Amino acid sequence: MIDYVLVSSIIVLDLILGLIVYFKGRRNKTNRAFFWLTFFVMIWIASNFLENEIILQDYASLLLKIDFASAILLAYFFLSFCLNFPKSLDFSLKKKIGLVLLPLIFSILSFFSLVIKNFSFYDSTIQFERGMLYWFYALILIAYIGFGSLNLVFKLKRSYGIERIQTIYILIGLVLSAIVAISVNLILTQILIVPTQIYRIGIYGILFFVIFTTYAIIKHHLMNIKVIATEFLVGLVSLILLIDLLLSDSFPVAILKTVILVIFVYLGISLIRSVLKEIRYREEIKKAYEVEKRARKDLERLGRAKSQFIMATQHHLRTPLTSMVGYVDLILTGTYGRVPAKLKNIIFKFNISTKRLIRIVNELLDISQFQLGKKVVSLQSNVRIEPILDELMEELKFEAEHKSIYLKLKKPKKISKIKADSEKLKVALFNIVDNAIKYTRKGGVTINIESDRKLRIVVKDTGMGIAKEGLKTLFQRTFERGKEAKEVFATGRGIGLYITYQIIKAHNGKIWAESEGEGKGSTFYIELPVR
Amino acid sequence: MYMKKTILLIEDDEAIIEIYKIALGKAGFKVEVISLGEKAKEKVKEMEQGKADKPDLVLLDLVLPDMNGIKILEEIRKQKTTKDLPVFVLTNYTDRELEKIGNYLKSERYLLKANFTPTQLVEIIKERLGKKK
Repeated sequence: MIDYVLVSSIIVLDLILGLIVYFKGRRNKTNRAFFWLTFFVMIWIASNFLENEIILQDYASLLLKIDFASAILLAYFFLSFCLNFPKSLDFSLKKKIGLVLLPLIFSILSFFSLVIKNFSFYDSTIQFERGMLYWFYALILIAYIGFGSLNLVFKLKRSYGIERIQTIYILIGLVLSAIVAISVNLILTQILIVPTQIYRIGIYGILFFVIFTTYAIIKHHLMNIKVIATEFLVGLVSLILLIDLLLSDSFPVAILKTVILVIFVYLGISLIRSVLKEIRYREEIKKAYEVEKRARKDLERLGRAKSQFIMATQHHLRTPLTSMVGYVDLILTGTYGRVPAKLKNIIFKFNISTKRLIRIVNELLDISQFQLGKKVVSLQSNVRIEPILDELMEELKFEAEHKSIYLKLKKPKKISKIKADSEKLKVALFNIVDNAIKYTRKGGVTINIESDRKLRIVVKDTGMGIAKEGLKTLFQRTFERGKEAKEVFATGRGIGLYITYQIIKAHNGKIWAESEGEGKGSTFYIELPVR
Repeated sequence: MYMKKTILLIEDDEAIIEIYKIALGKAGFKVEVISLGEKAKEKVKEMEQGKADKPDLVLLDLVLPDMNGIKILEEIRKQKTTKDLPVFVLTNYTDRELEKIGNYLKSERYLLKANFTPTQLVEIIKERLGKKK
């Protein structure tokens, strides 16, 4: 009886492991080969076990033939598994047929007298004589197993990491099983007359390979081991309970055991489900983390690409502009001879346009840098604001004159020095005053400097003013302009105030605007810390 | 009084070379031009060996066909003869990191080429060479 329990357990275990691996990756050739391997192991174990049962003596020769037929197919699937482990291989149809042909032929031949013949019983153990092709059969079987094993050894040398560990597990299982099976079933039976109990050790030995291989296949999905272990445990205990139930002495005991079995199976399934749920949850977290990691990498790459693009753009846009400004300067300073007054006026306008273009390019590049979170402003100590204001007045006075409005600068005799980036501060002030001139039709623009604990620059105009709603988001918008601004000055860029705000912020200063409303003028305030 | 002063212009853009050469020449400076980083480094070594005259000021572009101008600045600061040589970095890159490196290597100015007319540049150079540091 104990033999039946043992062999049934091995068959069930073998089948469970085969099915688990199969359903973990039905499309994977490795998993499919392993499933067929476990299937033929099952057939082989069953036939091998039953051929020596006295009650089945009438069928013993057939069972022995099935034993031999399944063993050679087992060898084929073993080789197929080894070749496809850990990664599936694509074989041509010719090669596939070439590999399967001999095992298939010998599997069929096992049913005739060519491999084994003249069956008899000795001490309840089936005996046979070697057929004509017995040693060929044995050679092919050993060759397939040997070639598969060598393939694994070869892979072991080249593999590393998890693949190496997997291969080692399979090889350990294989060596243990092969030693037991070949020595007992194939060789020992030819040397000695072995009793059934010893003969069957060969069957049990195969378990080494199945267990080690299953573990190796699922090893790279460590999370799944928990499920498989749970499934395995529940299955095994259920089986033991079932056997115990079948061996019950009385009906009431059988009912009690049935209830226990049902409760256990129910609890077992609940346990498996909860483990699966936990694993799914963990996998979702892992997946979300992977997605986030990928997105972060993409963003970083995008940031780097943007940065490189901006660097290249800086060079390619500014270099020709430098030449334009340079040549115009040389012309206007008489390097190429005296310039006629009419032409000089045109070149002068050209110069203004070029400088405006440089400012636009600078602002666009600065805005990109700001948006990339790069530091654009470099503060220097003891900066005097007077030269900045003078340059500003010099550059913008023509604009004001052109519109017939005034541009006044009121400053105290002594102005405190500040910590600033002269070039950037000039850009910020230029934007504010330039805007004031642009949106003023009558009257003019006054720049007031107040120097106390802080340096305050107040730019007041008598222009179109700003609606209250517009005041709140005035410095936050890029490439967006107020409705009124579009009407008055259709080609504005909508970035000046954003840039100005960023520059003043980088100076640790403050900027804000006040307006009584549309048509009532605006006042811009800039406050900078004194150093 | 600026007649004898020499400016070493390390720059590869032909138009910019022409413009600065004319503007500086007109202002009475002697201008020597080098367009390759390797040549510039060789020149610095020659200055150290006494084979070449030391200029009064270097205008250094940061992007040269064969190397980054910072390498030349490093070479200038490495040699005894040129370690205190006034260097103005002239570039079209607004990169604060580059500017910081330039400052670390004692470039006296970091000038954005597009923002300065040749006349303004000449004025800055005159102002620098007019006063002893």
